[in-house]
Amino acid sequence: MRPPALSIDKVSRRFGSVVACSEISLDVQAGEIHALIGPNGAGKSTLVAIVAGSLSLDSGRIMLGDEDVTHLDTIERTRRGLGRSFQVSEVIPEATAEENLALALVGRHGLARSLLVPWQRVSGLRIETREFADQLGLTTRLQVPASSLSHGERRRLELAMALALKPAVFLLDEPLAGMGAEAADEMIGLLGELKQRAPILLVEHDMDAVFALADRLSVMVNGELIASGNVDEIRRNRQVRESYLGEGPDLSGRASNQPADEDARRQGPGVA
Amino acid sequence: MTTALLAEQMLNGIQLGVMLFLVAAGLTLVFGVMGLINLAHGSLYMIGAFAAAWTSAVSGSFMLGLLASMLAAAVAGIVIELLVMRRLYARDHLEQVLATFALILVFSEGTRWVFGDFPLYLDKPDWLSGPVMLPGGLQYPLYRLTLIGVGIAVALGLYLLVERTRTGMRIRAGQSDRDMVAVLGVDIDKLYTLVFALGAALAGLAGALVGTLQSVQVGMGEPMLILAFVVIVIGGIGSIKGAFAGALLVGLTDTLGRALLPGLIDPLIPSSSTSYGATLASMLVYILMAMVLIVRPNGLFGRALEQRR
Amino acid sequence: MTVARRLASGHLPGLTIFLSLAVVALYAHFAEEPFIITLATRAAILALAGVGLNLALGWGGLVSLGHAAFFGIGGYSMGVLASHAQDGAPLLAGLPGSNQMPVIWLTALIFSGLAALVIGAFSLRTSGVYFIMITLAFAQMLYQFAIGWRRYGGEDGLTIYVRNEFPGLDTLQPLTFFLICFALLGIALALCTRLRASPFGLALDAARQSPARVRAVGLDPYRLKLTAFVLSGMITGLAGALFADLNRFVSPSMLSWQTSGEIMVFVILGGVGRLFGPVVGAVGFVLLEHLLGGLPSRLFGGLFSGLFSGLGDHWHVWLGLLLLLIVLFARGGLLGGIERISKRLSPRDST
Repeated sequence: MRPPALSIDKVSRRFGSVVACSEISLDVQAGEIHALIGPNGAGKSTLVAIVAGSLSLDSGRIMLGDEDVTHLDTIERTRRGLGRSFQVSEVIPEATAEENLALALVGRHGLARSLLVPWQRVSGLRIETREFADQLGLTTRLQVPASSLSHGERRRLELAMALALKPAVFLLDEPLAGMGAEAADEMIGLLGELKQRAPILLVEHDMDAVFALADRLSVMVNGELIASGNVDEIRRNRQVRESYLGEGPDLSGRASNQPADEDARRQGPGVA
Repeated sequence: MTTALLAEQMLNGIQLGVMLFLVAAGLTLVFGVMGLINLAHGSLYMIGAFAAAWTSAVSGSFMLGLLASMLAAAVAGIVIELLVMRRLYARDHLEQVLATFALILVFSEGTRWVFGDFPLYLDKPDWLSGPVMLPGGLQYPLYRLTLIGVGIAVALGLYLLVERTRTGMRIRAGQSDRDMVAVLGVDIDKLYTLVFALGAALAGLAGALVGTLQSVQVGMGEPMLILAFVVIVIGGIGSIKGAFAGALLVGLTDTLGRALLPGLIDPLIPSSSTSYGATLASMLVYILMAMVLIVRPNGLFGRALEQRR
Repeated sequence: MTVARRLASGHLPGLTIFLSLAVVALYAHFAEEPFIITLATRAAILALAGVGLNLALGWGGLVSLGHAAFFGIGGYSMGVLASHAQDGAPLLAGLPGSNQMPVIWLTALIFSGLAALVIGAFSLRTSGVYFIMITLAFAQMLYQFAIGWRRYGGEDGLTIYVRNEFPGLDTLQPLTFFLICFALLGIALALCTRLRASPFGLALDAARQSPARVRAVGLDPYRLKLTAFVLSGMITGLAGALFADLNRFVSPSMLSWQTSGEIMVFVILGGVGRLFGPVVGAVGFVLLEHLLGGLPSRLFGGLFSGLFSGLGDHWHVWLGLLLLLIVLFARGGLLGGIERISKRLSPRDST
């Protein structure tokens, strides 16, 4: 059997006396979206940073495919197939959307050693940026500086950049953060298509997205993984309901029982 | 090199170290609390020296001169804090560097305009002159010994201020979380001005004290500033403990290096024109800095700084 | 502003000033005013030093307060080689000195590049503020070294009596030497244009704005910045060799913090990050230096010389105040100001 695209193996991390992650184990198999949910402060951001390579772990292992990348930094992990997006959009503000995409391609093709040829003349580069822009609906916004893009467009650009890396696995950190209903629905559709390219570890608060997209769910509370399984199993899980989703029999994502609480429901009870 | 000479050089090294500490403490405090890199700190050192020289010449009192040095530097510090620094706290480091470099130009040329090109002299008072007999039979200048005493006293005073007083608590809080302190209702503006003035006064005092040993002239501040930077890099920015440790390290390394290296190296590399020992000695503190950076990129007591995006 | 727009904007005014340097020099040649050619040459050389710094500073976001190190290394490359050629003593292992410009330039490029590699390797591992202090410290170290290097003049500096030679040209002619410097400046500007437009330039600019993002696409900001720093050091080093040649003199002051500061000042004055910024800044700086410095003797001799001579003698005060005002209130330097004015004059924008 093929090893999972991403494997997080008993990862622990503490900050002083605070245990942010306690023996977290989960994996992402080919073709699936594995969602990681949990209230704020559960340690999800810490785990994301550890998987991305920007934070060291105290114990445990991170594997990309069959390769142990525990001691490698972000740059190396990216080169070995990790494609991440940031919770707070980390795009290059002064550069256009096209230039941002070109940057991702420069990274993937290892072009940074090219010092004298204008990047626009590198054969195929502009065409490729165009392709990725098309897929994320950014075609008309290619020449706009990233700082002038709307929030939703910037989130899509983040995603396009991750896509442009043609990674072996995606690490998406709240791609729907701050999006209105319409933009969120669009993004959900895009994420569904994304899964065809590579499996996704999706960290999200938006329950609609999670229930619509996830093949598997893992729930993190107070640094611990309290449940892991498919959507139905998690919905029925008592501990999860008590500590995170809230008491109540019906937890279907899309039913609008409380229209006034639309945003709270959308965000999940973890947001104060 | 006899033991007596070695001991003398070590004391000289400590004396240089504590003077460097006076300069570096203000710099590192200002950066730690306000996030501001201030190149004009050397100018404050110089202003202190000139104020002391002028005042003691006019009044005949060395102590009055010292007082004047701290006052003048503090006042100058307050003035530039209010007019210039306030606008720089939120800016990026490049702008801080440029603006404070501009201040160096203004202060240096301004001082030259007022006082001319020739150095002033600041005489130490009679009651601080002459040698002192130390245990072990070593004779050491009283004045230098006093400087060491002053330096240690200041270090202790700063320690008590920062660790034991309310103001010090605010300073420490400001160092770890600037935004939080403002939110907590501490009068940030006053705190910043106070910290800046304190750093300035220390620099001015150092200028006066060292100016007595050497001379008082335009441009005397910048070499001290650069050495203070080395101290801070070695000690870790934002850390007063680090400034003290770094300053002593730099002071001792520089002084002992200059005393010992020519004797060691020159016989090995004879040259009619250049003393390679002396040259190496002049580069020693920077080499020390480089070595510390290899093992501790953030200095001995420094924390990793958050990146400003 | 996009890469393309950044390259395009500021081009016309900056290019104009760049070309006008040559026009001024040519005019001065025919008007037989060699002093003005010297001024133009000085501006061109300082501009070249600034172009080097601008690559690290404006594009890479590296606030280097120690670029005088490279300027001085270039200068001393010239000084050492030429002095050995001058007095005939062998340099190293029997190798002779040289007074041939290409050899001197190559030496300057190599040594300043190596220095930039070492200094950069130490400085770039740490964050912003440390970088500033470390670059300053290393330059100071070299300054101390030069003062102690009495073989080559030490504190008094080294005089080279004859301008160095370039095969096929009469470098003693002021205009010829100017054209050499001008050509090198042009080449450097063209190189920078290429660099900035290249994938490397794109990545470097990105690294300045968001190192995290650059890492997340699999690129190493450290390597990018180090490369930029080395190239930057080499260009400034070349300028140093030319500067020493112009003045026929090299001294430790080329390595001083004042020199580092001055180069930074006119890069900022002209507009940091803009291609022609250093050119505009250097021209402005040389003009200011010349006009204000010569003011007392021309205008305020006699009656008013006492107080007003200070105006000119102490022109650094005005420079400092000007710089302060620009930093606090008018970012973007002269080129930025020109841009703002031209935007206001032509309200129909082309975004």
